[in-house]
Amino acid sequence: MVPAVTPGKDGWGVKLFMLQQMIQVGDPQAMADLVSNKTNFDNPSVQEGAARIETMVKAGVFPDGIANLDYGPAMEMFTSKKAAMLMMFTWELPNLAKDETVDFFPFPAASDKYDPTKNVQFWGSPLNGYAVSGKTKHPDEAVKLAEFLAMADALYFETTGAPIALQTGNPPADKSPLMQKFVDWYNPIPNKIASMALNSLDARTSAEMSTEGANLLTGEYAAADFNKAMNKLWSENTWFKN
Amino acid sequence: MNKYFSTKLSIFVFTAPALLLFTVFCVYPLLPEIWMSLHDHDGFRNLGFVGLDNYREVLSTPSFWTAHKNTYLIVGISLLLGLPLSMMLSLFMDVQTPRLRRFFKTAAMFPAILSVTVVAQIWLAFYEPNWGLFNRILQSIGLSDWTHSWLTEKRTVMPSIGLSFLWQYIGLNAILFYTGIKTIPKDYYEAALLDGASFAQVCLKITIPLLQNVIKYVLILSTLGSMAFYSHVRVMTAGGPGDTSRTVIYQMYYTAFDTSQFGKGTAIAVIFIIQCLVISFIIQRFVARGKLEF
Repeated sequence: MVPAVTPGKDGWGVKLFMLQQMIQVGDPQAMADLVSNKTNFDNPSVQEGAARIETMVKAGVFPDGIANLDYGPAMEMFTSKKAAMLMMFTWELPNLAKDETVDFFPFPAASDKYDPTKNVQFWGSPLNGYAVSGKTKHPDEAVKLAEFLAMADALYFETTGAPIALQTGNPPADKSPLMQKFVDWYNPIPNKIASMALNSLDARTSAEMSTEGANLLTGEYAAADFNKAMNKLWSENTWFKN
Repeated sequence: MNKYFSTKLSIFVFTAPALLLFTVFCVYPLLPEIWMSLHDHDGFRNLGFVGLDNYREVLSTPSFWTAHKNTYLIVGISLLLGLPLSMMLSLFMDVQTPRLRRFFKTAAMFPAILSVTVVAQIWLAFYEPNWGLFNRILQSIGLSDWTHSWLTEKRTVMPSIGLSFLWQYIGLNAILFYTGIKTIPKDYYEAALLDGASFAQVCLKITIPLLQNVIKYVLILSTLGSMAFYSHVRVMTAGGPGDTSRTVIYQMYYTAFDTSQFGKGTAIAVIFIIQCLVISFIIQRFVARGKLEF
């Protein structure tokens, strides 16, 4: 049994949540600054994020071949007890809650600056997918369409027991003890840091971060090289220029 | 009847539909592709004419050369390992009893008719470092030191993917060679046997020379097929870890669709097309040019 598992193929886990988590467990303010482009990968607190990932990989926290481990096999390793822990978004909690032996905990702090009861990485509910362009010629129709699609999504996710941020008119389903524990922990957290992956990366930076993240998971790529490459990419990131 | 079917007009009429399809779906799309390669295009908007800047930037990207190195490694594996093995398999099939021959023909074709995704998933399971077949076999025979994380180590990732590609298509090439062998007149073999030629001499002096056109055809197919190597990489490693296992086609796809740089992606495509044309020309020009007569 390995200590932990996460999807590593194509740098998925690193780009989408792991890098951010590893930065903010040391310095949540540095992470918030990175999301809003007030700092970059020259910041020592930001650099420590990649260093923590490198340390975990070299310490054998993850299974061999993590850099090529796809989502399904990673989940399977956890559910079949080949891995003791799973680093994952909470969207899997409704599914995993069916196993009464499963519990969750927020990643421990790496410094005094981080308190897991006061800071969390925020992605949103499964209804983040619809937006209307400010330049549309038909805003009313576009809004109606987005609302229709959002409601359809919400009704679907309701059937799976996933937490949703839209009132569908249906009575909320009874939550499992694990889901209730999650909601009780998550809701009161005052500092919800938005996801860098969703809010700060243009297409090229996002794709290249996946590439660099996958390299980091091989254990043969130094965090210093990762940070150097990311700093160059960050300087060419057009997200904040639009 | 021959008088009508051998005229240039009738040849044109019969080949016109295929020519039309080829022109519409293969030749015509080159024009907007070349246009796009000279512009900064994100897939939605043309952001301006940039001349040869896309080509300059693509040629100065390390991933581009890594992709080329990997692609030509696959071509090398396919030609230097795959073709001889296919030829040996076809010769082996030829000397079997009819029943065994049918079995080998079916077994040879079977991988080729599987979808690439299925083949890639099978080999992904073989290569899995913790519970995959290869590492388990090595551990069970006391060779634990030889186990690898086959698809995440730089040294082993491309040969590992190449092996899955080889496994899928070696049988198809063997069938093509076998079909060619069956067209060789038996008289040559009988004459050679009477003269006391060994199996190796028969293969080298009769079979292979008389197969030159088939060899040329398979060479072109294998070379261009290897150059376009993409699907196995996509499923097995997504070009990773990092860019370690990217091929030219993968790099083209990644640049255009993942990074939304369609101008650079089409520049890679144009460079790739030129390479394929050059290689095809070289094979046509220098391989199996003469007509063989005994």
